[in-house]
Amino acid sequence: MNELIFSYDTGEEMVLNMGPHHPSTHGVLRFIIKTDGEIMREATPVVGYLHRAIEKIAEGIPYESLMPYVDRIDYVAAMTADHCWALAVEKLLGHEVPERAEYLRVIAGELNRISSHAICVGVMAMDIGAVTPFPYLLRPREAINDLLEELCGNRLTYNYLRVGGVSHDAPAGWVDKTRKFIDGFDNLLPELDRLITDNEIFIDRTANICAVTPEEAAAHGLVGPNLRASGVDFDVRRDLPYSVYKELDFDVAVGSGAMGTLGDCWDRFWLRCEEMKQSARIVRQCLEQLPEGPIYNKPKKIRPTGEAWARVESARGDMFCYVVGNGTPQPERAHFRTGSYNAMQIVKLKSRGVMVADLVALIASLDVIAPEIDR
Amino acid sequence: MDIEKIHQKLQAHFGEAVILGLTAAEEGIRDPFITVAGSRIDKVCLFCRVEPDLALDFCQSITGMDTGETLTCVYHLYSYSKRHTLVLKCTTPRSEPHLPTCTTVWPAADWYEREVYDLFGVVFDGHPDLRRLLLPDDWPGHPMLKDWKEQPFYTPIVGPDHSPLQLKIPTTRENPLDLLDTETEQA
Repeated sequence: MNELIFSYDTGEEMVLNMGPHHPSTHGVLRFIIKTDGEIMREATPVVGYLHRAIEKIAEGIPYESLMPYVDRIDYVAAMTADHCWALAVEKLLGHEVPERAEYLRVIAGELNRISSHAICVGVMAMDIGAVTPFPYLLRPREAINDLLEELCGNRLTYNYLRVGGVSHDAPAGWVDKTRKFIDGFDNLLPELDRLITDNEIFIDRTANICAVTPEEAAAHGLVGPNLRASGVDFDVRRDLPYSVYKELDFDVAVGSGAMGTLGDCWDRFWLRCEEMKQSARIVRQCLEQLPEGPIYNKPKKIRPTGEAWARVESARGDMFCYVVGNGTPQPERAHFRTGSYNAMQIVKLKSRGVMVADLVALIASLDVIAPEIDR
Repeated sequence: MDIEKIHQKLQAHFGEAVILGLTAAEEGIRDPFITVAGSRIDKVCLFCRVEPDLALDFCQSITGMDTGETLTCVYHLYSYSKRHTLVLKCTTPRSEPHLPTCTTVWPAADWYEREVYDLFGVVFDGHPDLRRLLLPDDWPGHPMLKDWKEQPFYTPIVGPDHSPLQLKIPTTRENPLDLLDTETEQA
């Protein structure tokens, strides 16, 4: 605590506290910042304010009952987090999922990815000072929330996936409604580019800021959009395909340093805009190919032994789940490693020598969600 | 490269005293793993990273497990260039859990190891900054151990002068894990 008092005796350096309650820290995040005027010497993240002991809870409740908890690991993209847990348990059981359920999972997950990226992109623009894109992007998010509410009854933490399928089938007319939304959404993205992505002031504020090299990104364990923005061409959906991604046609966007250095804040921003386009493409294909049939293959007994891991491409990147069974209805051990966790680690390294205002751009561009770090 | 070949390669380099065995996918285990002697885990990890055939440049996760007399650490590694996965396991005695650090191999291991230390109490020798990560600094015990019980009182909150505030907040509710009767299983 004493460190937080301005330390005049160290010359020009000053130690400041940013957060845990700060409008641009995306949840309950805290940084201890050493600054020399506007130049930052180091920002040390302090995490754990949202630790909910989900891994400890998992050891006491049945496999299928953990699903609502998993929602809360990543509340902005709960559908993809659900998918990770369902996939891990199904792999452990060797359980088959009906094809229609797989398609519904992918549709719901990709819609959720669009809404999560919309929040990330909008919030990043707002943190940097452009307020207009945020409410602009809340419109598609609102529409997606309505669609998902119609599908599963919830707007934020869905609890939609089950071990062996999904909880509800698409209601009558839902497919057409979703297709209509995607058609409208495709028109929105070029407008977004004109509004903010190609905006000169925005580029000045984000290009060449906190660039992460491909080697650094891999060694520090950056995943998903942050990794691809640094030029590493890896996407779990394409390279370790799960669910029905093998049958779908989509491109994986990779950062190129188009406005400055490879892996800078602008690359991460642009990459998420591209991913929204690809997600829209995936949703459209799934809606066309959506087969008829059952949606839930209920496992008779969930009492697995052995161990398994699963990886999915969550909105915040490669989400990893490790589950060990011991023959009882409760898992022996469940572990989650999420995208924000790794993204937060690199903040200390990347914050050296940048302006204080650029720290805000860095956190926003890494798309850090606090409960995902703390679980 | 599949796990048998990786196992052969590791065994050729380190010998059977370090690479203790391969648990294949057939034995009721969905994903195979290689067991390594705990004291040499850092050397094995470094070899896995720098060896061009293995090139395991992404440390996906390091996590702990309470396995009774011993604590087990599980290392999930992945290679972006070779597109293969490797799972390493090593054990350390529960009474004195010590393992060498892997932070020099992957910087990402920093927080992974801090988390394992925080929740399981495994001390990673050589770690540059081994503090608690998720729990408060004055938290007693390591709660992911199976014999950990919820405390009757929260630790007193420390005041600005570093003295404990005379506030003891009783945890009147029962331990939620005790409420669950494992016998009432529904088939």
